[in-house]
Amino acid sequence: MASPAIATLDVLARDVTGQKKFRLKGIPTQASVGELVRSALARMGLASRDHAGQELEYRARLEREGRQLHGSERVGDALRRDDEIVLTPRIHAG
Amino acid sequence: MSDRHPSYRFALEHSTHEGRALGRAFVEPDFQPVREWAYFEAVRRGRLPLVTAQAGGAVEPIWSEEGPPLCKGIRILGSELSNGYFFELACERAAAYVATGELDPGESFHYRVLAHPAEPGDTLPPALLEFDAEPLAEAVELAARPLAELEAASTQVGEQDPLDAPVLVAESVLREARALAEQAGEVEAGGVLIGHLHRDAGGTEVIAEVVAQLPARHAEADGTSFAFTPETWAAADAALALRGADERILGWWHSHPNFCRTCPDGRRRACSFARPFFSREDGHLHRTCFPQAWQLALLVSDLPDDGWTPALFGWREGRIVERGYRTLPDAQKENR
Repeated sequence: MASPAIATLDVLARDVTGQKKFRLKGIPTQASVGELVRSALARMGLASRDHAGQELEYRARLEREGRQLHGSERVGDALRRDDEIVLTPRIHAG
Repeated sequence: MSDRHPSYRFALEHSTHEGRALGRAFVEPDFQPVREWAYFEAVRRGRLPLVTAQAGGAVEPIWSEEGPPLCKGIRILGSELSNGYFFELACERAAAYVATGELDPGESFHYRVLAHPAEPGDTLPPALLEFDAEPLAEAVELAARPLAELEAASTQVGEQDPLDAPVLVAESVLREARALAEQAGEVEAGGVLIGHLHRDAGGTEVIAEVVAQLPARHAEADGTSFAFTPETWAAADAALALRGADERILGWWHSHPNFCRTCPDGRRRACSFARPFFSREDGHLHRTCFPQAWQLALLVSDLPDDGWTPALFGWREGRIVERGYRTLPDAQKENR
């Protein structure tokens, strides 16, 4: 018996300066936004840790609504196909 | 930020200045800044268009006269770099030898760079979710501006290294950053630098022109730290959109208060905090948010002898260095 197809969607993601833009394809709609963000970082070549090796906090800003998504939101609830999100870190200068 | 599928694995072999072997260890250099630099070099020479995408390209060893696995440098996109690129990693490794007592503190050391073909298993572990990520390379429009005219209308500050692309900074940017830093006093201040990238009308050179600074909103600051928050980036994007001047984020700025206020005079003169300096946090922020070779960082430092002093930092051969720039009078900026 074939396994049921997993619902997915595609979104656009960019970094804070708009110099890295990616189409993220086939994101499981059941995943959380937090999982999406953490998975997107490595694929987009963005740092996931700070200079001391601690995990960096990132938020995904949904351009359509102009709001920061919460990490626990479900991809299928928060995002629509071809939405654009901006991955924004809380990052320190010294 | 390591390579997901490297062609080679690099190792460092250390010895004391007397030639006593200390050891050999694999390292994971961050090659992305050097990729970005090599790519931008090609753009500056008119060989590649400027696009919004992460620079790619395999890093290949340049074998030394002794042959593999010893390297005398690396090659990427036709650009070559010496083993100096591994210097910081070599220092970190040397510190580990000091910690184990194999090297005395302050003792000089030698290092050699080795490269070995990567094994199939030398890739990073898979990410949390499985999905495809397709980079979107959009062309960056470079308006033609005559470099010679811009140079004639501007003033050089610091030394212009031949490896650096020309950078023009509006005097108002320096003035405002200094005023905001002064206003913040013993707390750090910061913001975003915005402007344009041009192509020299008489050649292929790329010119960065910083026309304004946007003070960081919703930032968190204290005496030794300045945090850009997700809300800071959102506010900067909103301000850029409101200006409607087709500007882009060229970099960022922040201030360093006078860290030497309570130090005795003699100690200040030898102290690296008494000069403009980029901390590890600063370098990490620049690497994370501003990795393109044309992106800039302005630092305004309250120096013990000179007061509030601006210094511009940028990428050179994949490393962050203090660099020269030109200031553009406000009248010239308004006449654009």
